[in-house]
Amino acid sequence: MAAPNPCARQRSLDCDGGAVVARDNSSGVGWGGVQTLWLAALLLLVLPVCAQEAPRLTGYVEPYAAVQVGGDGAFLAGRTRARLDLDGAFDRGAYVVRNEITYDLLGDSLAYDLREAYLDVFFSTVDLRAGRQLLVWGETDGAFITDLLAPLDLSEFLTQPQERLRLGVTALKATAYLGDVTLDGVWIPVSPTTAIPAAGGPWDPLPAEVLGVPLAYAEPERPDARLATSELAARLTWSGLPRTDLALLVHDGTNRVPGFTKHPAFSIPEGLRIEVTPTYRRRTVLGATFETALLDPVVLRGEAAYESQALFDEPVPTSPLALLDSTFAESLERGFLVERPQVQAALTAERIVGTNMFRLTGLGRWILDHDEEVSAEAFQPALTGLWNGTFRRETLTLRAFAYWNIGADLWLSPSLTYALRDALNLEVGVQLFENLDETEDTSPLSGLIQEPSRAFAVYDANDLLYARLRYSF
Amino acid sequence: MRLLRFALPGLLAVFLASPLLAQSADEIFDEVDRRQRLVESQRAEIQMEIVDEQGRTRTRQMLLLTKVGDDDRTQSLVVFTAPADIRGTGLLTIETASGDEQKLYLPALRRVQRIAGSNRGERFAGSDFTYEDLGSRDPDAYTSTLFRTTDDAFVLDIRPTEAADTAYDRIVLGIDRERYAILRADYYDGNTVVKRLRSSDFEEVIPGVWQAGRLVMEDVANGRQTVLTFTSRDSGTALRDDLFTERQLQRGATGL
Repeated sequence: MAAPNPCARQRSLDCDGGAVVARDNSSGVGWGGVQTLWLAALLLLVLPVCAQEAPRLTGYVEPYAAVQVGGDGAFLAGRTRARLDLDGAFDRGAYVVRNEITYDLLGDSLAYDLREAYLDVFFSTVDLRAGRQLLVWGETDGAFITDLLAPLDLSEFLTQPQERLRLGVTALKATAYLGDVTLDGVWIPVSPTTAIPAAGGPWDPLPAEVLGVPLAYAEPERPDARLATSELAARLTWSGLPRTDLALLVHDGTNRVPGFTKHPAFSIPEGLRIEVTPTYRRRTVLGATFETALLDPVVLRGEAAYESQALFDEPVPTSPLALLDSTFAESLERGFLVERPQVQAALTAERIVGTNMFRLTGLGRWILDHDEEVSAEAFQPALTGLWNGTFRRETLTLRAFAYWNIGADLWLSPSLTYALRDALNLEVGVQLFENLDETEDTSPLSGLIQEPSRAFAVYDANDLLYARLRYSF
Repeated sequence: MRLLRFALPGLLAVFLASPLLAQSADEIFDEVDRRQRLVESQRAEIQMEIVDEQGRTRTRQMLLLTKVGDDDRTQSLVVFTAPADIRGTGLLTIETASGDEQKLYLPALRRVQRIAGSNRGERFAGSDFTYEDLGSRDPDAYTSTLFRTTDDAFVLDIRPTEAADTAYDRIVLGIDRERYAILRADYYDGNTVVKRLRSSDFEEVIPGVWQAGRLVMEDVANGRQTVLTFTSRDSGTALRDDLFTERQLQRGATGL
């Protein structure tokens, strides 16, 4: 199984006028946000002066609202997002600054995110890119098997547009173009963290308490920021075969979707609680991808990755009798989080008929050295399907995406986009989550975190209808 | 946007100036094709206005690079520069011995993907031009008849043989007698005209070769039309091969 499970919340609530806002460790207007604002302002002022090509300001304004279908019809989201991008070029180089300001209507809060700010320097066969940037690898919709480098914005699970799910990461990237071979090398000085759903919010997958004991979230646990803990990644792509690309890649760094340790804690006046800690640990991933149009009109894409130490949850006891189990102390010590190697793979077939594009993907996750300490199944198969059709001379786009964790749960995401005029698009759609196996209990903590085969079931009550209007300039 | 495909050389009408004595239909058509291939590389900025049956207009702007290699195979790179929601979208097409290699870059997703070859009958970017209309025609795949000769044009009736990859049953071409450029074309489905092309604002892009600066394709059946306007064009500068790579595709219009 490949879909990430955001499955956690920051119990250390960030409250703004009583409203709960998501804690995003990779963005936001905290101290780090102030620094990035200064950086963005500096770049905005300095870069155009250096540029040889006239700087260009672009962006969009996008109001968005989502309402729960069924239930009490609560608003799940309401915001206006403004994006302002500056880019330009100079002799043998280019620069980009992408800023995003979001006003959250429900929380009455304002958030700033420096999506990207980087410099490109071009040499004859090598390009260098330094700064905060989006690093996108991988081949599969809705999965992140070899898309290893970008942290994610899972504050609204996977319901945001695909282009918005990835967050920038500060890195130095070098790309060498050597005929049929392209070599990417990436150095990430500080491991990034993923934005996870707000505690108590609609996308918080965890219960407020287990057996009457409340959950409390601690600060994330991740390697100290030192040169020795910085990350390295490399990808070698070969295009020597007709209409085919092959790639090998490696990433030595931390997991992007955190695991979560669970420890009992007691303090005054809070009392007894379960302390949950988002956890990022070092591991190595080896992967391979391919893409071929040899079977025209079908395009095949595939990817596979071996991860040396993926994080998995142990079952958390929900009965006092379990405390008598001889292994309980060991599980307690490691926070009910274990490391196992895993293999993930996906194969996609794409066919275009007229103005309709169809994609079908089979995915699988195999947990190696699987035993009773791992709550997830040893093998988790899934299928995804995508249809994207354009009509009325590309003014009307219909899209339907389905992600089926076989035998477990389902996510359906159909939408309609209409171009009201040039650069003004209205999108309406629904997001439907279905629990297909009612015998599985989706409410306890146990088996939920890091078990993607239950990722959609937990949001069974979060079916939503949304509308998005975007004007690009 | 995956539907973009340019099979150039010579976007659209191409067209010449040297007077010929040969006047048979096949020779006229061959001469148009031969001259079309004289343009070895070109950089063009193009505006495309799509006018629907209610008169509403949508505008696209694009940058087009084309180059014909020593092996007579064509490379092309199209990058959309407007409107803002599709800016940076690009398509790289390279003819190879095993068929066209096509790669599409969607800047929002930051991903280059291979796509399968397009159907020549598909519309280009929602316009009234199909890929077939934008590409070249092999005279050997058609039978040609000189319909008549007017003051300014040869009027050719060309009909596809089995070798032709076309959606039309018949095309009537008006070819400039001086420049050997296509002035107009009527496209037939059976005996009915379904589309009309009108070319104007001709420019001598290299000595002896004339190309239209404005092309209007009218969809007769649906009352729509698309206007292509070349806002700039440079055919005299040889383009580097490294412009037709995935590296440049991801850069978009930067540096072009």
